[in-house]
Amino acid sequence: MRRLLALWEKEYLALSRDVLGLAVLFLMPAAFIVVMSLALSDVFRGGSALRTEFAVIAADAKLADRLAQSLAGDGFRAAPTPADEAAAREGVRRGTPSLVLIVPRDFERALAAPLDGRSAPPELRLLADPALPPTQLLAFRQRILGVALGLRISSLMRRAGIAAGADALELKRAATLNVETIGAAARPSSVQQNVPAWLIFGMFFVVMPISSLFVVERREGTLARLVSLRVPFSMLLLGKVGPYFVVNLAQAALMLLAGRTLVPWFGGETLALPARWDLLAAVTACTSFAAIGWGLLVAVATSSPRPSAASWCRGS
Amino acid sequence: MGTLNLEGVSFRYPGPGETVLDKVTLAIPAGGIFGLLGPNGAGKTTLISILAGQLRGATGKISADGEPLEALRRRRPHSLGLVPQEYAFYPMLSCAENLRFFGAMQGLTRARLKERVAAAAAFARIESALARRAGRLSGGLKRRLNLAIGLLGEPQILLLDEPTVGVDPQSRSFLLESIRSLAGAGRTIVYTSHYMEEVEAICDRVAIIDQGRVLVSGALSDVIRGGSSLEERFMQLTQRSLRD
Repeated sequence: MRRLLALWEKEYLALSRDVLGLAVLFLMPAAFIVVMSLALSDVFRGGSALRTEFAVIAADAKLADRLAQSLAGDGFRAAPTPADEAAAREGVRRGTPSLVLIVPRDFERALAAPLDGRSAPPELRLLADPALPPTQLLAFRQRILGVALGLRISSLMRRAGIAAGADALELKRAATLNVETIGAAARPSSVQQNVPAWLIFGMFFVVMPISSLFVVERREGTLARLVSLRVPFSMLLLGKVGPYFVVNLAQAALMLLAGRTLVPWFGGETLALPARWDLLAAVTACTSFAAIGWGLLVAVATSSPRPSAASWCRGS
Repeated sequence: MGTLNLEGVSFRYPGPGETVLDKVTLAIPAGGIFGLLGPNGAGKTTLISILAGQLRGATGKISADGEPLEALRRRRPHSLGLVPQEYAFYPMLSCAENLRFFGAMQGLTRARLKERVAAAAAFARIESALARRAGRLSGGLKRRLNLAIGLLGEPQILLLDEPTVGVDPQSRSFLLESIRSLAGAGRTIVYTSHYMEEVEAICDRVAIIDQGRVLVSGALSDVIRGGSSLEERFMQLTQRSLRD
């Protein structure tokens, strides 16, 4: 046991003097978690929580206002109308607003055309930011068609002498739709996605110090000296596995703490911890053994510390 | 500790390679320094590695005082010390940490460990460098630390594999004097080197091996009788062609 403790102490001393290695093991994954959780927060946020700005350009300012009012809601917010189409294109290129609906001059006349199959439906154009999530674009597209259909029906009803204001046919007034989610599982947020992902990635960073030190031990003859001192192979192996398992556990604790405290401190969501701690511990232990095993494999398969670092990259 | 005997020791690495050691028979008495000489690739380091227990699979008999060496190492693991030609210590640890680590790996207890670390450091004259990182030491200090680690367990058989490579004349002189003083305590010392003048200066007996075979073995004076110096005798026996 004394010899095993000496092996562990040696690993800790070696690791603690490698400032860069410590930064890679602890700071880098924590930084990844904070940055990526915040950067991807919009991607993982639900559609209703997203705020997408749009504008409407029409020759008739009143019509543009009416359409903008009808289209607003459910995460879509009306932005000031651009001066012209060129300004609208420039705005969309910058992402403000993300969407611009261009209404043709004869739109209202085209809406009033008889539904006899001979007249073409009114043509609308939508300028869209390519970075907009496809689901958002699809939702807005359906919203436009819904509003256009309402206007058309309203126009037809007026022609038929049936009194019906355009407002009455607005999408939001058509019906009240309540969505009920079934089941306990909620869509994971950005922090729920990023903490486990970067935690696993970060745990595999131990491959670098394990393999580098092992290669140095082999190359410098230290391992041979230990063999000549009749240190059993199983003890040498335990001397590597023990310290790096503890390092992995410390990483896991730090990363979970980053999700609970650092990410919300920077304005992100708070990480929700699982109810089953035993399962979390089991997954952490298995990941740690996989990372340490990979590190030992890399150490055995390579002959210099540099290829061992490259192999770590391939493994990750 | 009495004589270290090797009888018909042969070894070949796994695979289709040549035999590295071919029926090597040597008698290495205690209380002196036995110089093991040979050109590069002669099999010196392989023989040292077999004696140190790093390589297995050798055939033949190796015994110390009549007891098989493997049995002796099992019974008294620290009866044999190795000072390899590489700096076999951890460059990121200090000298004291290296000494404590290798002492602990030899099973030394706390009080005994402290005592042996101090004694080995004093012997190698590295006390002033104990707190320094081993990787930042000069070549001479590194060699002395390497020697100190090999002496921690007070081994009765000491294997020194080119222990003076890459050091300045002062450090070499100190190392040679230290090694000579170790032989006085009745130890069996096996010393390999490419520096013939070193071997002539400190060894009582020598063996010259080449291509895994013992070409000559005996008292230094007997070996060099046929030539004017050990180097000349060495060149006569091993020829002048380059080996690597």
